[in-house]
Amino acid sequence: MSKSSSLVFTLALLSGACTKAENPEPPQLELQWQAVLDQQLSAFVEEGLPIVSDDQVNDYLEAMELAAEGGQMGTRFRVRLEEANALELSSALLSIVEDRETEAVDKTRAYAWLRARGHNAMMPRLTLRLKYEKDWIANVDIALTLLQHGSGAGLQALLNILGTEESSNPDALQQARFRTMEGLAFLPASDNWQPGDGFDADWRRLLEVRDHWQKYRQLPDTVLSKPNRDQRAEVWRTLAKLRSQPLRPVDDARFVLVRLPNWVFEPVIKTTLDEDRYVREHALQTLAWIGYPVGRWAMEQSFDLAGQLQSAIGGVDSRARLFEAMGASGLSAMQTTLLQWLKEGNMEEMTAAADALLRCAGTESMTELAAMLTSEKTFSPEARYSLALLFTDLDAIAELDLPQGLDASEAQRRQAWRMSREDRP
Amino acid sequence: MSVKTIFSGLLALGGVIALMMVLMPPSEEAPLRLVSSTQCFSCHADVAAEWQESHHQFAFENPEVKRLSNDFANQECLACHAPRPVLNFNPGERVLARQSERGLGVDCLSCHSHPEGGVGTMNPAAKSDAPCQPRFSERMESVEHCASCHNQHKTVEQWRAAPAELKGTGCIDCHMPEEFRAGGRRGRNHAFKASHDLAALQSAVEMKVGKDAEGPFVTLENVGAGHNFPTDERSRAADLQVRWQNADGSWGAWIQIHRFRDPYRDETDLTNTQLPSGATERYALPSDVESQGKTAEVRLLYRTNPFLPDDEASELTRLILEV
Repeated sequence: MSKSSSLVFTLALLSGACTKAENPEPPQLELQWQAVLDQQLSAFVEEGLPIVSDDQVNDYLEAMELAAEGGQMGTRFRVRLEEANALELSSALLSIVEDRETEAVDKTRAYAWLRARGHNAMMPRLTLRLKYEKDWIANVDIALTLLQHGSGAGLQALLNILGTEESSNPDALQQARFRTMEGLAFLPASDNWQPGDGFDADWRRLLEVRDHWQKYRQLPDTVLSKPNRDQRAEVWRTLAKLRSQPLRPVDDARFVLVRLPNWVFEPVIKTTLDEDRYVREHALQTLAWIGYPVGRWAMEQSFDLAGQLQSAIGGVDSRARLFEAMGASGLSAMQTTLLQWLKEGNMEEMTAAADALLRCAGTESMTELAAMLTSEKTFSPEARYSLALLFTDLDAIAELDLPQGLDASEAQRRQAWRMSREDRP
Repeated sequence: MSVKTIFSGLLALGGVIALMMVLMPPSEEAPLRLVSSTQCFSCHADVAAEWQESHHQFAFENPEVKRLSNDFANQECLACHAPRPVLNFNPGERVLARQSERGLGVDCLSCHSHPEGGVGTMNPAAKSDAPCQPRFSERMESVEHCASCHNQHKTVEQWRAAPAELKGTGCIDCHMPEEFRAGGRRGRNHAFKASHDLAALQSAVEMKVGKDAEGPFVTLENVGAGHNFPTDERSRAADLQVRWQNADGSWGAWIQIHRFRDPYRDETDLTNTQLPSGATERYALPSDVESQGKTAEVRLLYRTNPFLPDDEASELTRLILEV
């Protein structure tokens, strides 16, 4: 396409040449929702962390206190804790750290025991502690425990602690920094780095591991093991929180799901077909928040993400969110569907499709986008801007003005999507 | 004129009206396919003007909201600040965010767009052949219509617990009073006066000061709000403050007496101190040791966010007490 034609196209988009003409009715598609959550929750009902009673929690609190006292009695209780059922112990210890009334000393002991003896099914609930735990040292313990179980969700917290120089509680900060530096020995080893290479090398490795985690949701130089049934049970329980009407459980679930290793992608993708519209919506939103790592994982696993997501396209209620998830994956395989809905969808769908194309489309879309010029279509300011940015990126023409009616923050969001296009899978 | 004559006359008039309705040609304006709230403005300019002044219109662009939501990086805030049409969700259930024209905030289509086409209205006699194809929706009068968003921060829950004499029949009693517009058209005001309107705030509470055996005190009564004062979780806060006059006539610094506020979800160390509908609370006036003053001045400040400095807060009332 010539520069002049691309300029005409872009100007047409921005000037609103696409007037408020009638858009065609969206195509009707068959719905195929499933009771995904109900089925999975019943399949795993006996697995995962058991519910523990207050009495059990108090027993563990007492055991930790006595174990800390040392001596013969302390040894007896230490052995009792070491021999306790790991699932029950983890559940009780998580209940202790989740209770806002728990004394700081008990929390510290509970985190230490979780690190020593926690079952990896604790990962979702422990990841959620990163959201609520305000204590520096506790955050180090959480991050290192997660790291031990193959999750890099707490690495940013470690970087923040090492990067913080001032605090209202300098002693606590100093202790947390010291513990973090000790903990860096547990970063996965590589050909270029071994524990004990010195702080500068440790720091570089921490950044490297964090970056790799953010890109793949997997620690580098490690083979990710498949989740066991107890872990999967806890993931499904986390996903079940997406049903909630109050937003807090939904926020919590999304916070956790976007921070779990990439084995969580498959259950989240499956959940996009759930019969509950809120569950579908939030599962799609979770995928969109994770973004490119989902696309990279799908490519590496030869997982047909486009095909899988398209099974949910019959849902009018969540279609716009579906397009967001498709685009956020960065996979060019999504283009055909998105272009179709850009042509045939309603205002919401067209906006979502345009935004999604900005995040995933390649040069293959140029002809189709140009053809839009010949049809009279109504685009929202958001869609107009996304398409203009995409076109600019593909054709490398000059920067463009904001369309009238577009909020500055919405423009910035789209500019950020454009900037991240170079990281597409 | 006899009753019979009046009755016959009314009957005849009814007949004529019925005949006119049958014979009159339908509106020549073609039904509109609603894609944007801006399509509403030309026919409903007066309502649009009220809405333009409202915080519904400002819901997405409000810089305070943007700051607190980290520019909507906390995307859960988006759902109510740029919602999809409420009528597309079950009554009282949460709404979800829309993708387009977010800058219009809580716009016409957010509340009126009807899932079966056209718009929902509270007017049972609306002209169904108007371009926007209005259809009566009883649900729009109910608190459930507002609850989808306004119960996220517990306001509707508080309203349900309010005494009957203060709760009225629902949100619209106070926040959408009846309006008579040009041409005698009756409707509801769309400015949604509430926490950003001084008069509305002042009508919610009554402050009194006094002195008894226990010492000087201030009371605050929620006399006018069918929900807690201030309502909302997290953002709104009201502060009672006192200052004492020094011997030289100057005034000492303001001293905090009490903060009314429901803390946010993650502020686990705080508890809800709002004043429920109809409730009265009494607080002793803390003295100023330095001034040993005999004259106290008490004020009530309202903040649209708890971090707003005193000089940017709204002063609802101020009273003097000679001790």
